[in-house]
Amino acid sequence: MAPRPHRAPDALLPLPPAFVHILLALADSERHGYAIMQEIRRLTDGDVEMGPGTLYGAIKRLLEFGLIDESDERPDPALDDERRRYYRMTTYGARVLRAETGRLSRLVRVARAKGAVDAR
Amino acid sequence: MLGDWLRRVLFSVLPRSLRRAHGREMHQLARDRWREASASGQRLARTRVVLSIALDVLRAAPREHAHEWRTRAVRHHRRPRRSPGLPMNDLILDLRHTFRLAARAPVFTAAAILTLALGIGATTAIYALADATLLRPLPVRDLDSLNATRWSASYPAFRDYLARTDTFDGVVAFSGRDAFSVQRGDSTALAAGAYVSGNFFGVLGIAAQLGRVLTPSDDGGPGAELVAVLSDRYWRASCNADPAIVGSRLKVNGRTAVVVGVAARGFRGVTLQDDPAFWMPLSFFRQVETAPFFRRVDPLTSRGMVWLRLVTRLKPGVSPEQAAAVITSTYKANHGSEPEVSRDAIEASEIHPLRATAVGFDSRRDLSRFLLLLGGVVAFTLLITCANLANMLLVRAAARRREIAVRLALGAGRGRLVRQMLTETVSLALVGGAAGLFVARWTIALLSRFELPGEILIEELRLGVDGRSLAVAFGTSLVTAVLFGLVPALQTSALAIVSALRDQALATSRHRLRGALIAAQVALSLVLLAGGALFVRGLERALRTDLGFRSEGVAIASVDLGLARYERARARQFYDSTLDRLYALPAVRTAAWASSVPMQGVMMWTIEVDGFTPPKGREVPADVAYVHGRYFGALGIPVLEGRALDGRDRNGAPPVAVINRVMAAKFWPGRAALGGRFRFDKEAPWVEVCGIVGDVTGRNINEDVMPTMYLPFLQHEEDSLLAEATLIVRTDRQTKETGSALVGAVRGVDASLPVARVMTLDDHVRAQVMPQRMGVRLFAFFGALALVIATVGIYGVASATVVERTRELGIRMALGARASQVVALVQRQTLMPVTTGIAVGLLLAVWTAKLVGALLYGLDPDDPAAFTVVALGLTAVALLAAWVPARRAARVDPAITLRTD
Repeated sequence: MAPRPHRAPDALLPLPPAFVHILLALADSERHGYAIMQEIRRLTDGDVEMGPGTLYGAIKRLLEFGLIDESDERPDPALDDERRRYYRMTTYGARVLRAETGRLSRLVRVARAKGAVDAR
Repeated sequence: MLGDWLRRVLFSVLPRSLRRAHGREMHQLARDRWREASASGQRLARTRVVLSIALDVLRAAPREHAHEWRTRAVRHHRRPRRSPGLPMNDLILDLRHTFRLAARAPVFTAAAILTLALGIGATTAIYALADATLLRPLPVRDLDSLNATRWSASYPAFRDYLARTDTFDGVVAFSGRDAFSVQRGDSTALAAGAYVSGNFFGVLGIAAQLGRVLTPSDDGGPGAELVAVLSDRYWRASCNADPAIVGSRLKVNGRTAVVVGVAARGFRGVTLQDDPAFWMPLSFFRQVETAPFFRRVDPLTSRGMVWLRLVTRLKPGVSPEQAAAVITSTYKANHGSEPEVSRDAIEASEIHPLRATAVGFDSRRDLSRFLLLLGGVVAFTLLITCANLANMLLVRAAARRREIAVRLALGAGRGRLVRQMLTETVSLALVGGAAGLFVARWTIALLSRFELPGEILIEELRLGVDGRSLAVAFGTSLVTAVLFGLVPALQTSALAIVSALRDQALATSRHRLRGALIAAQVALSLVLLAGGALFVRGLERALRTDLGFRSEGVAIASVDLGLARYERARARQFYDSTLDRLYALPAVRTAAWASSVPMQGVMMWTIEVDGFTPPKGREVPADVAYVHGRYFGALGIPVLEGRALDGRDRNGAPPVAVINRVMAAKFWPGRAALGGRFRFDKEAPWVEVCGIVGDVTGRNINEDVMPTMYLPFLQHEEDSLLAEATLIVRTDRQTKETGSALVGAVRGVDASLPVARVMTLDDHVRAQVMPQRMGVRLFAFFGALALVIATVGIYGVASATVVERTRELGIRMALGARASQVVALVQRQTLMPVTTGIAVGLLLAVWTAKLVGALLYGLDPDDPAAFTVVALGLTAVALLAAWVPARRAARVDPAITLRTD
């Protein structure tokens, strides 16, 4: 797929939750699809369980938008000898993620000021 | 296993580009999740994964298609090009069309999916049940070459059979399941265990999931120590599935045993009723058993002690008859040539396929009939579902006549249209199938509260929706879809374009088909409802029946002193001491021992009555119950004449018996039975009838009361003392705590004696009407389902009729027809197929009831009231369903009607 010129990070906001989860899962390390799913499960304490349709639908679009790209294809030493496609977050993706989390934290700040956040 | 093709079918609803880019990975992910679920060992984990993946894909599909559309539209500024050569492209277009249509007609879509889900879900659940009991009852290797002997054998006999390698590829022996005290760490609990020969697991082909299974060297090999293999269930339930259990030590009846492994998941022994916690080698029997009897008799050398059941694997080419002959000759060689021996030898050689005996020796017939009934009910429901779906599709096709005609006129090929409509039904069916999995789970949960014939608890089978039932569900839905989607599709696409466009096509063949489908639905619903009514009547009758005894306030518990190797003198003392202990409790009013309680299997004897010769060939046997203590008082059976049995009636005293009224009437017709005499054979002494008691329901609530005699334990010691005996206690207070009092009384006399079947007599009685209760629930459930589906169907067809005939009805009304006449007109058209259906249904129901009544539980099929009520009820519902749209038609202003179109 031909690379497309990136839009400004803000143009994609707000990101769908699936995008945010996948980007967060790839924030510290490159992973293959199953590992992304497991990481999301871990990050959300099992609340978010991504099926193949949702996960790869989102991955496809993330690739199209240039937020992530493929690193290489290799077997996961912990799983099996099947070759797996690894994904990593692009710098553009990191910028977009930062923009989204910034947007979210601004939102939370406003909410907190209005007393709409559980004090914990 | 979530098959490759299943995944491919599922993923096919996603856009092609997504599949092309990530298809392999999606398959990979699904496989990973499946593997993860399999490893987790959680209940239904795999089902959950399959469902969540299916739902995810179905949810993602519209989103991804929408995205695809947008990006393509943006990228190319035009709609996607259709390349006629690629069927996959067509499929996407068809699917897209389907999605749009489904969204446009949500009620139709929901109704279709719901009916499909109910039909398919029920089928899946029943399949799972049949699979777990009849198709694959045991997870052993090559089940069909395994046979079980019906009667027990001694250990030396087992060794003899083992040597016959010319006949058997293997013979395994195992003891009956028994309770052991098992100490693990600091806690001691009772657990069921069994002794098995060392080759048990090897011959059956059962592997260990952890550690190893028993091997022949564990069983009496040199220097062997006591080892045990745990069952998967016990390991999970009582050891928290701790893998460190392998190598740990248990104390079984005080003897140290090393746990060497955990048997494969799902293995529970060679019958479904079995569920031992662990297996130990036979050769350790004497060291583990505590009864003093075994200090004198060695079960490993005694030929008199028959305690082992055998399973044989026949050599290829050896027939069961040849095997039986080998067993007979071996038995004879062992036991000498006395006359009884050859009879015993023939008995010993009775072997049955293990597949049949896995569900119990005598219950396979009942069980298969029962499952047949269940399957029939479900098949009917599924048929109704299909008929209804076909009808809905027909109605819908009629409504879309114009659209189809336009497409035909614009040059769409017939094949293309048929394919489009098939895509619609297949999509519906697949979604319905997916939703059916939920229904299957509910149905399984519903079933799990019941017991199958042969005392198999459905819950214990741990039914789940696995790959096979999934395949069945989706297979059923696909067949349904293709069969019932094809007819309307072909019919519609065969439209004459011009007449359709002018909306004048009165497709009579379609009307006839619709009518036939309605008739079929009504007929099948009637059968189900009539079945339900019969079961309700059966249950009502069963519960109303005067059982002849009073069960409230009574608790029972069973022991077997013969198995516990008692001597007669000690047994006599045991029975008396337990009764004394119970009478010492303030709440206990009456207590007794008996060989059986009412509604339990009993012995039958033929007798010779003094002064009565039954007509030749019409000899009636009588049921026998041995009793000790105040049996009639404990069960509340009235003594009508003479006296009850009491302490006078012991060995040496004149033999006496108490008989029931039926026996008195049958053997002493027109004479006084009290004081009459009978004997068991020419050599036996005369027995005098000393009392007559009320009749008590015998073996089965639906059977006639049998002639029954009650004999004192102490005058028939050889038959009564050392066999299974049931303790019966009537108390003032609630019977729940009485159970522990019963066990306490037994344990107070002999702490090591296993006590079985501790329950209230109420529960015992209730268990006997279990089939009726289950039948009522099942038929009520499926009957109601059928009724709802059929009503929806009738309503839908009536509505469609009204819509199609709007113009005609308008003209009639414009010409002066009254509203009531219009209503009657519409109702007449709908009621034609309904009455046909009811007539056919009645015939079918009577025939089915006869079949079912003959097969099961003594239902009375001759119940015109039940049939009449059901037929009338169904007619009323049909009338109502047709009346609503008819009424609507009659209300319409003819002027408006005529102006439409």
